[in-house]
Amino acid sequence: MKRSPILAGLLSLIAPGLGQMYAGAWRRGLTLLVGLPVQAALFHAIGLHSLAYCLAPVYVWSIYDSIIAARGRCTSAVLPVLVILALNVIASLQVTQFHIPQLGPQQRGAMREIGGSILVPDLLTRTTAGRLTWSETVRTAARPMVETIYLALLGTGLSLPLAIPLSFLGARNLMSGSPILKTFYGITRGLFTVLRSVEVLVFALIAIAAVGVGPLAGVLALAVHGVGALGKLYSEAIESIEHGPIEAIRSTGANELQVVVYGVVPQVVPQFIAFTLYRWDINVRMATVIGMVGGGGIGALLFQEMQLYQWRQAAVAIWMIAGVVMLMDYASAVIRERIV
Amino acid sequence: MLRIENLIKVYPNGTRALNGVSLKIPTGQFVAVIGLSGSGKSTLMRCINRLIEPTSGRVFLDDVEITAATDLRPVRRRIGMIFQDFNLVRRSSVLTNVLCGRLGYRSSLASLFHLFPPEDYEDARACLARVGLSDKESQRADTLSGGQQQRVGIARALMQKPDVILADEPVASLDPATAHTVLDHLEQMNKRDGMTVVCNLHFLSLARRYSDRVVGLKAGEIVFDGGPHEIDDERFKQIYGQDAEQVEIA
Repeated sequence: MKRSPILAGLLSLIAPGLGQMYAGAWRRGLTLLVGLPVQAALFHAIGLHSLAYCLAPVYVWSIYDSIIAARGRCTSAVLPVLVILALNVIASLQVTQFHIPQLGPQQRGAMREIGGSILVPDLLTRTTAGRLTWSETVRTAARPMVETIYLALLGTGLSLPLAIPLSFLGARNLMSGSPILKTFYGITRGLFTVLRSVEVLVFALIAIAAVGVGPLAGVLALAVHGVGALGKLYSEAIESIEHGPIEAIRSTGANELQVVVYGVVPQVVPQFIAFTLYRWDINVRMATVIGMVGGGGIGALLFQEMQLYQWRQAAVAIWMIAGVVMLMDYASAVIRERIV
Repeated sequence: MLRIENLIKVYPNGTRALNGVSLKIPTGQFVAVIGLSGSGKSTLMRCINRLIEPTSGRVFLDDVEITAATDLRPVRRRIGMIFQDFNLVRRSSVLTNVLCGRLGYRSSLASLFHLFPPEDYEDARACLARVGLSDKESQRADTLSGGQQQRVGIARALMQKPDVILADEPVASLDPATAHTVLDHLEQMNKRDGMTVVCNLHFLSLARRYSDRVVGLKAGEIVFDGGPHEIDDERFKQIYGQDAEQVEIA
């Protein structure tokens, strides 16, 4: 069908994108028709009216583009996309009131002190007899460090009894039999997504409100978030198994439970172990942050010391966390390589 | 007697894999089903034990209507199945794979804790001995060669104490010498134990060598049904298309 370039241009003059849709470029037309007004409204809403007017060149381009489209050709959208991207960068600078800080002599001194202290943590001390030994800070930090590792372990462990059974309900290949199964699949996956998308910190603050400040709150937060994170990984492991053995076991007359026990489980066990270790590793890192908001462990200690400007003491906690995380990272990588 | 009446299978995407297949297979017969890839051979097999639900038509094993059965266990355990890609659970041991053949007889609770009665272990070892793999029982299935894996597949089917064996291209992934070993086992199960064997095969020469009867499928319909030596050049082209050439396997 022949399109009139003039009509296309006029349509895009009335509303950007209409001309493109008339010319048959549906996707681009719809993007412009919806996108430009939304973008302009956004700029107005945050009070940056002048930015909204800067969209005018894109409006003009859309008229030009619709004329070209009506002639059966296509123009590059790179330039208008770059313009919109640049406008949004300007908007983000304005909204966050970002500026390069002006450092006075006082700030420079503080930075030098903090930086220097972190590089020289309060590790060792001399006894009255003159022997070198671990400092008081190290002795105090050791216990909360271990507490953090166990906190993460228990948090991971508590997510398993829910994550493992649910992951079978969240595996598409096991749940495609009937509409009822598909509904369960949808609900389970939805639950995983919700649990996963809420930050652990949010769960931690809720848990603290419920059970009070301390490691228990941290454990609960990690466990709840972990059900979503692990459940999704487990489900995907189940979805990636070979179908052949499942079919073979089903053909022997085995019921669905037997198919899972003998056909699915042996195929997913190594991946389940690998994901669980990986989660523990992540949870140790998360546990330190949770500690800062009152979830127990070494995070609490670190927070305290930073509040008191005891930077050399805080540095001990920071280096300890870094060391433990590095070790666990390495260990879990080695174990994963062995069993998969 | 395995009786198939007017079996039709239309897949959700509209493919008509089976278009009114009817067959009567007397007990103890060795039937080779031949035809091009996509002619409906695999679909036919899977409709017999309802791994795939037929769109319409009926299947009977003796007096039991499989297509009407609500509980598939008693009928499925009478039908052993052997696959082109062996379909063993790779990470499980050979013995566990063979024991799986008995699952249709055992309760869910026992299976949940991996419990089989002692006679199942005895039978599993006997089945392994029969296919010549006694020394491999504790190895992981994926450490075995292709031919050995297919023999484990046969042992698993034997564990079902089946009346019928469905073999879906059992030798298509194997070299010619190994192929004969595997088919010899099927022949033995047919001749010595009196099991009915329905076997999808690629090579006409193998069908001639092992079967009592050949069924040719083309586009979901039976285009030939007769003795293995009745297939001349003309009939061959009817099944495989005008441009096909016969390829021999020793």
